[in-house]
Amino acid sequence: MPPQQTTSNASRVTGVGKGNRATTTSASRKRSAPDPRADELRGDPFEDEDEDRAKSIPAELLTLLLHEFFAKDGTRITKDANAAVAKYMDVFIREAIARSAAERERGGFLEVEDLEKIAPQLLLDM
Amino acid sequence: MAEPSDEERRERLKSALWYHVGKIVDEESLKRRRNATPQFIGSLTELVITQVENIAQDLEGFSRHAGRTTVNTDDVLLLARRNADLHNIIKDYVDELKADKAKRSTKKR
Repeated sequence: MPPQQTTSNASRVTGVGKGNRATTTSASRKRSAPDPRADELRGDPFEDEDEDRAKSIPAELLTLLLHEFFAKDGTRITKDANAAVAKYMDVFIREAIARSAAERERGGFLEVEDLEKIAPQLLLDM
Repeated sequence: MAEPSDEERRERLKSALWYHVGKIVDEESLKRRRNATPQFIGSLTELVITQVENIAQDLEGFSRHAGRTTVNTDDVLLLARRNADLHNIIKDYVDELKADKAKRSTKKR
């Protein structure tokens, strides 16, 4: 995905400035490490989140929705688990659209009836 | 349910979800040079809400079964147990999150 590349580039630039001040030792450790992935390490988590949020359901909204449907008040969810559910729902939505589009081969507008046709199998598959 | 504030909050959540589902539909249909009716987006939003409701109850059940009150990533993986491809997607994503976290915590030290 090209957008991700640009983010990692941008965050690397901001990350360097921060790294120099706060964690000089870890920065030098990073440089000496042969691991090529160390370069791709995202320095600024907020930038990445923005990129994700533009095209997916925001984590905060999903948290609110999940808590709306938890039967017991004491139930909580970890941040990672919430992000994983967001990924799951992202797959769900895109799969629904892809199957609807495949249902209507001739082109034109995706209609409710296309969704109605693919929904039962989609729900079984998820 | 009887309280109007609950109803209101749910409606607001639905509106927020509608907006984001609409964005994803726009993006996906643009990719395919297609278009979707507003009714399609509305129905998809309803489908998504229903699925989130089912998921929430499953996750809660899974965590309670494990003797926890907090839902963790293992519960989410269990959610995708019947679809190997989906399971792999979620597993890769969770592993990525964990690797990121590990790197970040070693960086701090």
